[in-house]
Amino acid sequence: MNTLYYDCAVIGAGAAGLCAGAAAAGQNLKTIIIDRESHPGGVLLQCIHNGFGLHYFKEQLTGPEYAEKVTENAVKAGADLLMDSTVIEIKDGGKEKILTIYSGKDGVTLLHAKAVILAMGCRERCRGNLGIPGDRTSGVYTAGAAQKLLNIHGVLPGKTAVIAGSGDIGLIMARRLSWCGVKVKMVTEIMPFPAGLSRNIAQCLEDFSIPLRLSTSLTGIYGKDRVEYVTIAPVIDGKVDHSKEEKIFCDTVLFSVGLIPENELSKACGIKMHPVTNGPVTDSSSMTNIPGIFACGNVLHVHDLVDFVSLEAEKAAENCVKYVRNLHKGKGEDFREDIPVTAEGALRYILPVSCKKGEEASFYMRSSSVLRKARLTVSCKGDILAEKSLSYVKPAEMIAFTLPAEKTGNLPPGSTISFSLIPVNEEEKENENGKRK
Amino acid sequence: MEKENKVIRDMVCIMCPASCHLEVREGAEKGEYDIHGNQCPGGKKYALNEMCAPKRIVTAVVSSDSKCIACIPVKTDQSLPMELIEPLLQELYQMKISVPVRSGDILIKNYKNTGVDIVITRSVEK
Ligand SMILES: Cc1cc2nc3c(=O)[nH]c(=O)nc-3n(C[C@H](O)[C@H](O)[C@H](O)COP(=O)(O)OP(=O)(O)OC[C@H]3O[C@@H](n4cnc5c(N)ncnc54)[C@H](O)[C@@H]3O)c2cc1C
Ligand code: SF4
Repeated sequence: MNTLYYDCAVIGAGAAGLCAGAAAAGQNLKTIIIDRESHPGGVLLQCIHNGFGLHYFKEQLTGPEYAEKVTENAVKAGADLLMDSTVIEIKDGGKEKILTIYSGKDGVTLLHAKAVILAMGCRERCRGNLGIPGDRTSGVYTAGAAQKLLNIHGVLPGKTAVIAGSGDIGLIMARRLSWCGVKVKMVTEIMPFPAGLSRNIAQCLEDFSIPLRLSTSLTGIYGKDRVEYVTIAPVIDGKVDHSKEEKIFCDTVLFSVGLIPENELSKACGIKMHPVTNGPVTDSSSMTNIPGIFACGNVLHVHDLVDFVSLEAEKAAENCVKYVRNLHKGKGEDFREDIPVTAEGALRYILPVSCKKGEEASFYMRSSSVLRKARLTVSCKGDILAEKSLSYVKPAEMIAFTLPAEKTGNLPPGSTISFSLIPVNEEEKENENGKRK
Repeated sequence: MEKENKVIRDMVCIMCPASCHLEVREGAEKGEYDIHGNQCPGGKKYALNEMCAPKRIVTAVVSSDSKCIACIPVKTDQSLPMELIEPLLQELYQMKISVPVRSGDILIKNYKNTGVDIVITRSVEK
C-alpha cells in the first residue's frame, strides 16, 4: 500500500477542483487533485457547446476549452494530478484527514492531508428517482448520459426522442440531437415555468420549433424491447389529469429532471447536509462542520454557470490556505463571531448559512418562483443593510450577492442577517412614480 | 413623453447568460428598428441580426483516429448564417481528424467564404 502526504487534497478534477487546486498550489500549499476519470475537466468535457467563461475568462468558450484552460492553470501553479483514481473514504483525524484512494494501476493508496476540498460535482436524477411506471425497455437515458454517449463516444442514442424535464442539459441535448438528425418531438415540464436558462429555450427549442409543454407530466414509458411510445398528461393544480392522457411515439426518452450533489463520501465522514441543496452546510469560509474540510462547485449546490463554480472554488481554496497556515502557527480556528444568515420571502435557499462579522462575504441563492421584478433586501432586526433590484428572477438562474465588510462590522452580538426576496408589483411602482411627478 | 412605437417582436438575447429580454419596435424610418431591454451593445446587434439574417455559433464533434478519444469537439469561431448550418454539419460528419491536434487548430478555413473558421476545441495527443 502506498502512502502520500500533502497539505491540501482536492477530490474531483472538474472546474471546481481544478480552480481550487490551482489557487491552493499557487499559495505554495503542496496540493493534489484526485479524479476517477482519465482526463481532467469533469462534466465540461462533454459540454461541447459554447457559453462558458464569459465572467471568469472574459470570453465565450466551449466546455472542453474551459477545461483545458483551468487544467493548465492548475498544472502551472504546481498542483499534482492523480487520475484514474477514486476516493472511497475520507477519515477525519482532527489535524489530519486520511483519504483512502483506489486505482486499477496502484491499488490502494492512503493519502494524509492537512485539509480537504470537496469538489465531486453532482449526478443526475433518473427515471427511478421519479418512479415513472411502464415497461423496462432500452432507450431510456438521463440527458447527461446521452450527452456523454454522443459527444465523447460518438454514438447516437436513437432516432426520435421525447425529453422529460426542461433542465439545461435537456435543452442543450434537444439542439444537439436535432443537429444530428434526431427528431425531438417535445420537451415536457411538470412545472408551469421552464427549469433551464431563457437563452437555452430560445436557441435550443425555438430555433428548431420543438414544442415545450409546460405543466405536463410524463406518465409512462412503454415498449417491448425498445421504447415505442410514452404517455403524457396535463398537470392541473398540482394533480395529474390522467383522463387527458396522450400517446407520443418515440424510441428514446431523455430525463433532464435535476441534479443531486454527489455526497456519499461526505455523509459517511459526518459532514452535515443542507436539507434544500442536498450538499454540505458551509460557513462564509466555505468550510463544512468539520474543520479543515471545505466544499465548492456542484457538490455544494447545483450551479448553472461554471464561472460561479470557479469563483466559489478560489474562495474555498483561499480559506483552505488560511486554515493550513493557522495550523502551522499553532493557531486554532478563527474566533470572530459567526452571524447566522437566513433566506426568506421567495428565496428557496442561501449559501453560506453564516458569515464572519466585519468580513466581506459572497452569497449564492435561488428563488422559488418566477418573478418579473423583485427586490432583494438584506436586513438585520428591521434595519436594511443592503438592497438590490432584480428583473426576470427564475429558479433556474442563481443570484449572487456580495455583502461588503462594513455592513456587518457594527452589528450587535446575537444578530441574524436575513435575505429576503419580495416581488415588486409594477403597477404599484408606476403609480408611485406617477404621484411623484 | 414621446409615444413609443408598437412592439413587433419579443426575444431573448442569447449572447450571454444574462438572457436579457429584448423588445423590437419599429424605428423612426421604415425598415429601421428600435431595440429595448438590452443591457449592453451586444444585445442590440443580436436583435438587429435576428430581424434580418439570423446567425448561430455551431458546435459539433468530428470522428478521429485517436486511440483514446472517439471524437473531437469543434466550433465555428463566429456565428454562421443559419442556412449554412446543415451543409456544414453534413460536411463535418464526413470528416476524420488525424491526431495529434491542439485546441485552437483550424479544421476548415473561411467556410464558404463567410469568413468563419471551424476550430478544434480539445487538444488530443494520441
Ligand atoms: C450539461 C451541462 C451543461 C452546462 N452548460 C453550461 C453553460 O452553458 N455555461 C456555464 O457556464 N455552465 C454550464 N454548466 C454548469 C457547469 O459546467 C458545471 O456546474 C461545472 O462544470 C461543474 O463543475 P464541478 O467541478 O463542480 O463538477 P464536475 O465537473 O462534475 O466535476 C466533478 C469531478 O469529480 C470526480 N469525482 C466525483 N467523485 C469522485 C470520487 N469519489 N473520487 C474521485 N473523483 C471523483 C468526477 O469524476 C468529476 O470529474 C453546464 C452543466 C452541465 C451538466
Ligand atoms: S443584451 Fe448584452 S447583457 Fe443582455 S444578454 Fe445580450 S449580450 Fe448579455
